Amino acid sequence: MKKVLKIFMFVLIFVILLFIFSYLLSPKYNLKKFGFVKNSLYSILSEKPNTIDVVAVGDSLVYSSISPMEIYGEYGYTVFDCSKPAQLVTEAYNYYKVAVESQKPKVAFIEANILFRNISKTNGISKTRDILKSSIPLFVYHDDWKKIIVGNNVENNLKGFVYSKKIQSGTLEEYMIKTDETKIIPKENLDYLNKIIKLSKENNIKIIFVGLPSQKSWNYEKHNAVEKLSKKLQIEYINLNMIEEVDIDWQKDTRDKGDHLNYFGAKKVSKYLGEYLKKLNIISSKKNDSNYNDWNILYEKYKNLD
Amino acid sequence: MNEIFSKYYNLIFLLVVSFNNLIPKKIRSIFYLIISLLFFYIMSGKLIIYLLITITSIYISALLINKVEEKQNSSKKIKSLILIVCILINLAFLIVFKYLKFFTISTNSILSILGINFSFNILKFVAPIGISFYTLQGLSYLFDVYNKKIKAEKNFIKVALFISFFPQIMEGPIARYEETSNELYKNKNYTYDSFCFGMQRVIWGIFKKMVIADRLNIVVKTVFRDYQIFSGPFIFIGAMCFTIMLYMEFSGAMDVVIGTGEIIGVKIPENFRQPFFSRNISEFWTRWHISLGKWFKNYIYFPVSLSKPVKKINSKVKKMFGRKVSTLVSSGIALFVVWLLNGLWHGAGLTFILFGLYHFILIFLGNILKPYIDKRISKFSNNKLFKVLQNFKVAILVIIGELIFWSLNVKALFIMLSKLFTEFTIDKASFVKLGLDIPDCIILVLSLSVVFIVSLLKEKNINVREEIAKKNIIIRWSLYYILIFSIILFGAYGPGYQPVEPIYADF
Amino acid sequence: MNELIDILEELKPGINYETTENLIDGRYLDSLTILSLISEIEDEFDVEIPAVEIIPNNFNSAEKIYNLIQKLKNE
Repeated sequence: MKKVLKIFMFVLIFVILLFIFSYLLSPKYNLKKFGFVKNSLYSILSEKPNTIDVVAVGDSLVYSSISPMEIYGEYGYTVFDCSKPAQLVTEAYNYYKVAVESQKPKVAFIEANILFRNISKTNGISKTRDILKSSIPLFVYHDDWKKIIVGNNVENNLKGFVYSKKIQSGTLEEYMIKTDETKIIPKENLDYLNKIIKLSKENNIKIIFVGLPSQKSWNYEKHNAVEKLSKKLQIEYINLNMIEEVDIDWQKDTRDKGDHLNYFGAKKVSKYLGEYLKKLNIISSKKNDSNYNDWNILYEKYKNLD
Repeated sequence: MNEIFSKYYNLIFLLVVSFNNLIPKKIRSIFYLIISLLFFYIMSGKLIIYLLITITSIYISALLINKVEEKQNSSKKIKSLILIVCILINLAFLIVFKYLKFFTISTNSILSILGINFSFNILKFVAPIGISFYTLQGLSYLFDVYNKKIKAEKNFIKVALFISFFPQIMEGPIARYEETSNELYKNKNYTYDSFCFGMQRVIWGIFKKMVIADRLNIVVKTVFRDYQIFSGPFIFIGAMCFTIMLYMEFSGAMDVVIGTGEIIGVKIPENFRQPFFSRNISEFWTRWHISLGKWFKNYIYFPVSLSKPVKKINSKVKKMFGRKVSTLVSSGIALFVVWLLNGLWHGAGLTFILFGLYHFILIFLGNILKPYIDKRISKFSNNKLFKVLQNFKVAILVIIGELIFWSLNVKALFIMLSKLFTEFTIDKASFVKLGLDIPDCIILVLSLSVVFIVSLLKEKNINVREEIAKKNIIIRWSLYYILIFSIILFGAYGPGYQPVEPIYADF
Repeated sequence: MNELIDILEELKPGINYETTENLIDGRYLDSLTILSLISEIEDEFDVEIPAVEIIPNNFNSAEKIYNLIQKLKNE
C-alpha cells in the first residue's frame, strides 16, 4: 500500500512540475485565451496578437513553398504559414479559426489542394502526433529555455516555414497537361470551405485560392475543379503551377523529386506572392514600424541561415 | 532512427513491462522469444527469415556436434565438418548483406586497373538489423559447444532466445552462452525495487543519448560533410565531438539495454568500463565495447596465436632471438588478423580497414616498446599528473582513429588528416558554422561534467547508484526529477535537431 | 609449482602469486603476458596448451595454472 502511495506521489509531483515548466516556457501572448493544448497545437499562437496581416492555410505545400521571412524582407508584409502535413479541410478550418481569433489578418491564402483530400480518411500519424503534442505542451516548447537564458535573439522563428536546401530533381518532364476532365471535390469538404468563407466575411478577410507548385499534388483536373468553384463563389484564384513567371526549375527547386519545393523554389514563390500582395494594395509595409523590430532581427538571422 | 531509442523499442518495452508478471513463469521464456521476434520483425520485416535460419542452423549443428562426440569411435573430422558448414552458412549471409557491394566494387576497380574490360553488377541488399551482433553471439555458442565448454542445449527455445533476446539483438552486448543463458530463464517477477532500479539506468542512458549525443550530432554532421571548408583545429573538434557522441550514444544504448534487463531480472554483461581512463590503447580496447573485444580474444586472438603454423614460426624465432621476440611475433600475427576482422566487422569499406590497421599498428608498437618505456617511466607511473597525461594521449589517439572511422571515403580522410597537421587558422566564423549556439555549449559542458563525475566515481570504485539509494527520499527524488526534466527540456529533439543515425546497429 | 611461480615472477614481477586469486579477473595478466606464459610453460613442462583452455577459470591463480598443467600432462 505504501508503495502505491509512493508511485502516486511520484507521478503527481511529476505532473505538477510538468505543468510549471510548461507554463514557464509556453508563449504567453495567447495562453489565457486559448489554453495549453491549443497553444502547443497551433504555432501561430506564439505570435504577438494582431501582428499578422496574411495567413496561408493549407498542407505541406504551404510550409514548403511560402517563406514569410522572404516576403517580409522584400515587402515588409507579415505572413504566417498555418499549415500542417496532410492537413484536412476540417483541420484547416480549426487552424484558420484560431488564427482569426488571435490575429486580425486582412488576407488569407487557401491552398486549394486540401479540397481534394478526403476528410473521412483520418490521418493516424498526424492524429497521434497532435495528441502527444497537446498532452505534453512541453515537447513543443522545450527548446525555449534558450530564450530565458540569453533572451529572444537566439530564437529561430521562420513563421511556419520549413527550411530545406536539399535538392532532389523532379522526375516528370511535363505535368499540368491540358484536359477537360474535372476532379470531384467531396461535398463535406465544400461544407467546411463554406464555413471558412463565412468566417472570412465576418472578419473582413479577403480570401484567395492558390495552387502551389507541385508535380505530384497538382494536375489539370484539379485545376479545372478549383477554377469552376472560384468562378461560382467569386473568389480570386491563382495557380502557380501554370504561371510561367514563377519560373520553377524542377531540376533544382525541389527537395523530393517534384512533390515539395525547397528553399530555392520557395524563394521564387514567395517573391511572386509578395508582388501579388503589393498589387492588392490592402496591407502596409511594417519595415519601419518599431513595433515590428523583432521581425527585423529575425530577418537578419534568416539571411544568414545556411 | 536509432533502434534502441526508437518508438518501436518503447512499444516492446511497454509490452514486456505490462505483461511480464502476468505471464505464467513456465511459459515466460516463450513470451520473451515471441516479443523478441516481434521486435525484430518490426525492425527488419521479412528479413527475419535469415535470423530464423541462423538460429536453426546453429541449434541443429550444436546438437549434431554433441551427438558425434557421444559416439564411441567418434571422428574429429565429422565434428569439424559440421562446424565449418554452419559457420559458412552464417558467414555467407553476413558477406552477402554487408560486404558484397564493397567486394564487387573493389574487384571491378582492380579489373579496370588491369585493363580488363569487364565488370560485375553491383548488388546491394538491405541487411537485417543487428546481423553482425547476433551472428557473432550465435557463433560463440557454437564454438563453445565445439570446444566442449558447454553442452549443446536441447531446448530450441533457449537457444533461440539466447540469440534473439530483444534488448541485446540490435547493438549487443555480445554475450557468451554461459553468461546469460541462466539469467534468461530465471523467469523472475519484477518488483517495485527492480523496476525503479532498472528505470534509473534506462533514463540515464536516454539522458546521454538525447541531451549529449543528439546535440553533438549537429557538429559532427557539419564537419564530416563540409570538411573542405574547415581548418585543422575544427576538423579535430569535429572528430572529438564524434568520439564523444559515439561513446554517449553507444554506452547510452547499453544503459537502456542493461536497465531493461535489470527490470525483468536478467543480468546482462557490461560493455563499457570508463574507457577514457585508459593508460594505453590496448587497455582502451578492454574497456570499450568489451564484449566484442572478448569475442575476438577468445575466438580469434588465442586460437590464431596458438595455432600450429604460428607455433612453428614461434619456436623457430625463439631459437634465434629468444622468447620475448617470439611472443611478439606470434601475438603480432594474431593481432593483425584480429584488427583486420575488427575493421571489417565495423563496416565494408577501406576506411574501416584502415581503422583496424591503425589500431593494430598502435597496439603492436605499444607491445614492442613496452619493455623500454616501462623502464623509463617506472619512476612516475604512480604520479597522478602522469596518469592524466597518459589518458590524454589515449584520447587523442582514439580521436584520430575515429576520424578514420567516420570519414566518408579515403580521399576525405587524407584531406582531413593533412589539414590536421597543416592548417592551423582559428576564426570565429568557423565556430558559428559548427551549428551550436551558446546555450547549447553550456548544456554540453554541464552534462558532460555530470557524466565525467559519475565515471570518475566509478573508476574510484564508488557505486553511484548505491550511494544514491542510501540517501533520503527528497534527495533521491530531486535527482530523478532533475534527470527526467533535463531530458525533456534540454534534449536535442524537435525542429532544428536530428537524432543520431544508427551507428552501431548498422554494422 | 615453484618453477611456475619463478616463471610468473620473471614475466610480471610485483605480484604475490601465492595468494592472488584473480590474476585474470583483476586484470593483472594481459593477453600478451599470457602468450609469453604459455610459451614458457610449454617449454618447461613439455605440454601443449590449446586455445580453448585459456579461460579465466584456468588462469586466475598460480594454483589453477598448475592444476591445468597437471591435467594436460595426464591426458
